[in-house]
Amino acid sequence: MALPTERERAVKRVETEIGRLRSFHDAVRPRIHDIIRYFNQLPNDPYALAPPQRALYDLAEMFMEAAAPIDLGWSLGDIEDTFPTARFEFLKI
Amino acid sequence: MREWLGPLYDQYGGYFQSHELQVTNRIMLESNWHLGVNSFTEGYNTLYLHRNAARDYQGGKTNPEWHRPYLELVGRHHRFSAPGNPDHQILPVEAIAIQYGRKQLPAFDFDSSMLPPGVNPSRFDKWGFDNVSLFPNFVMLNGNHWHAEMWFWPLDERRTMIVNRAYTYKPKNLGERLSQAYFRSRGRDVLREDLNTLEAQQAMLSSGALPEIVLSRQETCLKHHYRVMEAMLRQN
Repeated sequence: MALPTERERAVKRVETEIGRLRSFHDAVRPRIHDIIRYFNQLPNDPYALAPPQRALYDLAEMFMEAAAPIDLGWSLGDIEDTFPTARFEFLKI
Repeated sequence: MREWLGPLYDQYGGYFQSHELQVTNRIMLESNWHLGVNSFTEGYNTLYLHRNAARDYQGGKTNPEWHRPYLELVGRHHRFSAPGNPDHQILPVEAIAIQYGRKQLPAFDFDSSMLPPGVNPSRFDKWGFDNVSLFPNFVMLNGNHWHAEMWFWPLDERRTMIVNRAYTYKPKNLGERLSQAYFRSRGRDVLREDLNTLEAQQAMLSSGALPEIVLSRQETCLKHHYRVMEAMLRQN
């Protein structure tokens, strides 16, 4: 789930079955403090990270993206009857 | 600009410069632009609409109906404050995001000490954020450490292009960027719940089944929006 863009992560979360999201959450959760402390020693620029570091950083971003359904106890990866994420365009400007 | 903004003109010094753009979202909506603006023109909907995405971000034990603590009509514009919830339950990952960054929606730090006079203008002690509408089609949500800017551009009478820009404090390390990613996701879920009602509203209003809608005191700013519009149309 190390996806490089916010749009990909947002869509992935809402399209992923809650059991898989929980498995992902449970796998990353015990290491997230170590991951963040590691990144806080590096320059403050995700685009300057080497590919393996960038993959880990994107994984941590996905952990943040995937948190709400787990913490709020949803039965799905998305809110039932809400505006589709797929209709959001993510622009750089 | 000074004439258009009136007393709002010089109340936000340094506030916007302290933030940087995180993401811009563009959304095409099958709805009249007024309905988009109006969905941010009152606050009592939040108690019901955001029950899933942000169930306890406003109000609290002393304000269970989530009443607005401050509301001001400013020329053609208006603004009001949303009450933060001092009893908000911090969720597990939210706590991690707060540990490595700053509180943003749905948690608020209730610290207005560094804000210019236009943000939390009443200095409400349990302040969450402000909603500022600049007539006709621009809405800002202004919080501590973040703000959002929304444009509602009419394409025709039943289609609107929404441009939403999310800004936050400038992160000083990658941990703060990850913290911001958490709050950005939570904010997107809240926005999606707001947008979700608009196309249904368009369909219902277009049916003509309801010739009139009676607005409540909670909807004073809605009345103001339409009063200003009607006055301008009469003037022209």
